[in-house]
Amino acid sequence: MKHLYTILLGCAVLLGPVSCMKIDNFEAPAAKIQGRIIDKTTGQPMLLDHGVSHIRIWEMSYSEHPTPQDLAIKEDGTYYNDKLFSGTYDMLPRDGAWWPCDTTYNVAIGKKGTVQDFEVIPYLHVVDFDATLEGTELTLTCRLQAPVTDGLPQIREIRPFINNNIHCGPGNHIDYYYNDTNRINLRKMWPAIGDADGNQTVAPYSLKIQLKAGYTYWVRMGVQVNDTYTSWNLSEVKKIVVPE
Amino acid sequence: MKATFKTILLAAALLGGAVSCNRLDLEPKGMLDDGTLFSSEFGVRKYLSGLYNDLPIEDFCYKYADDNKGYSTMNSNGNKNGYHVGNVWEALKGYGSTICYETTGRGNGDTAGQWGYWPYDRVREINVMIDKLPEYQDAWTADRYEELMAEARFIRAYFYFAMAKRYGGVPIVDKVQDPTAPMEELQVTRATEYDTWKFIYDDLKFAMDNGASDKSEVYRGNRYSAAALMAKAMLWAGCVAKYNQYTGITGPATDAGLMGMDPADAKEFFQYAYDACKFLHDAGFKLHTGADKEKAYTEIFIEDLAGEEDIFVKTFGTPNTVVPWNSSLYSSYDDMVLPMGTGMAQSVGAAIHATWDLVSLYETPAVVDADGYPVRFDSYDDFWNTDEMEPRCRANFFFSGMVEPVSGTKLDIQQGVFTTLAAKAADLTPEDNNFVAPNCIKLQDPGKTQDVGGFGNVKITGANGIKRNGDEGFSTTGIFVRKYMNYKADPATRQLHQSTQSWKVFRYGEILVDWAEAAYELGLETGNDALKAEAFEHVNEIRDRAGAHRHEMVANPADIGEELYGFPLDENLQYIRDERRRELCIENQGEWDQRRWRTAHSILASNYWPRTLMPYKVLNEDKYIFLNEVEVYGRRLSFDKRNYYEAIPGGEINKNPKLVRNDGY
Repeated sequence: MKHLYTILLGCAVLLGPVSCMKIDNFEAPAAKIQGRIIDKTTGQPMLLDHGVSHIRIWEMSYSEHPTPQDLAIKEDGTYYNDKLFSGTYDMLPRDGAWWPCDTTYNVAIGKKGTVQDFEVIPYLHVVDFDATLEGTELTLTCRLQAPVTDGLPQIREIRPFINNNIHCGPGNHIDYYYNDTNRINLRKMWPAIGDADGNQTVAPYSLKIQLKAGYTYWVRMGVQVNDTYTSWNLSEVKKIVVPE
Repeated sequence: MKATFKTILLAAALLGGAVSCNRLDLEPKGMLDDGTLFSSEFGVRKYLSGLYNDLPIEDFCYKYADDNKGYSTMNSNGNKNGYHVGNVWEALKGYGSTICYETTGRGNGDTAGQWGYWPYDRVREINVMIDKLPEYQDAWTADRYEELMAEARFIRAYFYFAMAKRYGGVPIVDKVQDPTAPMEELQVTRATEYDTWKFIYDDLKFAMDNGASDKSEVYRGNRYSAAALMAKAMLWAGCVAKYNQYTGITGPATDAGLMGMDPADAKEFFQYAYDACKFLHDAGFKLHTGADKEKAYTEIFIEDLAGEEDIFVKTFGTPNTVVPWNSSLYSSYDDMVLPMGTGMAQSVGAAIHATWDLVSLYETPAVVDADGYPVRFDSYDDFWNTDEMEPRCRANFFFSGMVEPVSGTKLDIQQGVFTTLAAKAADLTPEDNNFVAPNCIKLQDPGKTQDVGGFGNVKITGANGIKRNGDEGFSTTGIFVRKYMNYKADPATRQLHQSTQSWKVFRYGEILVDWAEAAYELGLETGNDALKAEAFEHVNEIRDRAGAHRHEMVANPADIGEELYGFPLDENLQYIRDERRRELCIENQGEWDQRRWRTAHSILASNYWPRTLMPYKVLNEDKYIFLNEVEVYGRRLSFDKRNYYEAIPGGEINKNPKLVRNDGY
């Protein structure tokens, strides 16, 4: 019996230090990818809001059925990520107000960095966006233009997005102004609002909003269609300084 | 050393060798085998009890939103995926009514409610019974054998319904899988949504035709509970077929028919729902009524109405036994809806608060006059204690001045006082929860008095709220929930894990609103005006019992859907839906109805902010008013339309890559 204890003790002494060893010597993921989401009809990057639209990626070199990851797209239509594992990825821009596009297959991403642009066709352009201030009353106007009208989903509504910093859009705005009184409820198909030549709306849409004196705002307008993601096509951002 | 090894080897040989002397194929005495379980009434009850406990019933302990969401079942304390693992008492904080603006509470905000429900373990268990029962057919009379088979298929349909309404098409597993079978066979693909609903239909049709016919047995699945589930499930399927197209969601799952159905299929499902309702009507179920309509309405939820209105009922524990904390055998309902106070809630109190959005659906006196000014009442009682309020509304809610029957407390809800008041209601109720109107003092310590210049020492805030700091225990909306509150409870049981009232899973009141909706939808599909007219007979049967005025169908209904939802919906159908909300509110149905109708993302598009009924006293006039302010805590709601279908749980896709993801995820 005494020998048994000796053996057990020996095992404990031999095996115990195993837990002290540091074996996690894998490097942190550092493969890099960047690029732009380009509006195919204008050749310019899409006007977006930070964190709303994503590029979904699947690491195909890791598994046949990988769990997807989403890369955020910045408000200027660019994206950048340098914390990925090196490998081959399938990529698909989504959660945005553009016609469904095809997955880009087998993009090799490594530490040297890969540049991958995507071309998409937006559902609508918010054009002739104008913001004028009279006293504390802000008047916003815009028109809509549709690059492709055939099969365009129902157009739901037009809204202003107002924020007190430059980041402004459906994901970043002051809630107070985001309500049903400050919107244009359309719920119509394009033929019901589009003009004769089928590309531009006839009359500009207009909204009036009361701001507070002495504050600076950043504003833009957006239009939402009834597709899978009900995301927003956005105008550029304008800065509004309300005098004291 | 040599001796030591010898000793060990010898010991190992002695120990290991002895094993071969035991006969291992003895039947273990502590386990029940198929024969014991499937050849006697007691055995079947034993086998089914766990399945009944796990049935996906959205009862008092179902938590829709927030942490630890899901069904609270016998697995709730195990770390089982898809079951809510937290404190059962917390369930009311994320109760279903909080995310469809029937009530507000801490659950507001999270309307996705996804927690990966995937009960194929339970499906397997019930498939075992369906597979094995035929082997013991000799132990039963022919009728009883069919009844048990019907009961099993009702249970299976219940699990599939809970999945189909979340995911659309799901894998149909109707046999017990052999774990040693090739992986290819074990990984079952998703059936189309249409086939999934038809599978549910087949199970329920069998259960309706063959199930037990004793109406007084409301605790086990019989032909009537199968018919009630049939009505509910087929109405769901019909609405998905008809309305899912308007969500505009596209993708591989939609293309494959896993999400959504052909609109032409709607008629078939509405017909099934209609037939199931008629089946229950012909079986003799009827609404519970009484001379005192308010009292009769409260009795629906507390009294045993087997054979009358009750169709299927889930019981909770009996009073005065040892409290099994965190067990789903009890609920904490009374303690979580009543305000704190002697004889009322003892531990938490008022975790959910009824909204004006809900209460204003009922017949109530106007609180704003034709010119836009708040109506002056002589007392708070004049709001509810007149013929102008329908009895069902009083039975469902407590308003300021009503007496809570068990404790005898006269509920005292007041937000504050106006010294003088000249403004219009709209100017007093902006979308701002920090707004304080001129000449208004509000939100002081409950029940305390304060010297207000010229009016002496007056009470500002009622004893039961509105309290600003502390959203539970006191009113935050001016209205407490009364529905389902146990008026027969011993006040000592009004604390956590002590409520014992049953949950009425299916009652004939629900069948009538199912029937009205199915009949009207069917009338629209087939152009049959008689069916549309019939729908309003069912609506009026409900309204008669509620003590509300009858409502007649509009001959040429206007389209109100285009502007609200972006697709056509006529005002008669909207009225039928509103009647359903009035009848079934706070029963964990509203949020599902809005998903079924595909209206949630339109209604909750703009960060919906629920409204309240805030009582105030106007001191210089000695009158009382109510203001529909926004909810005090700024709890808003929104709904992302991809959530009409939930995501197939990621872990399941890892196990079975044949599962196609739902579109939008």
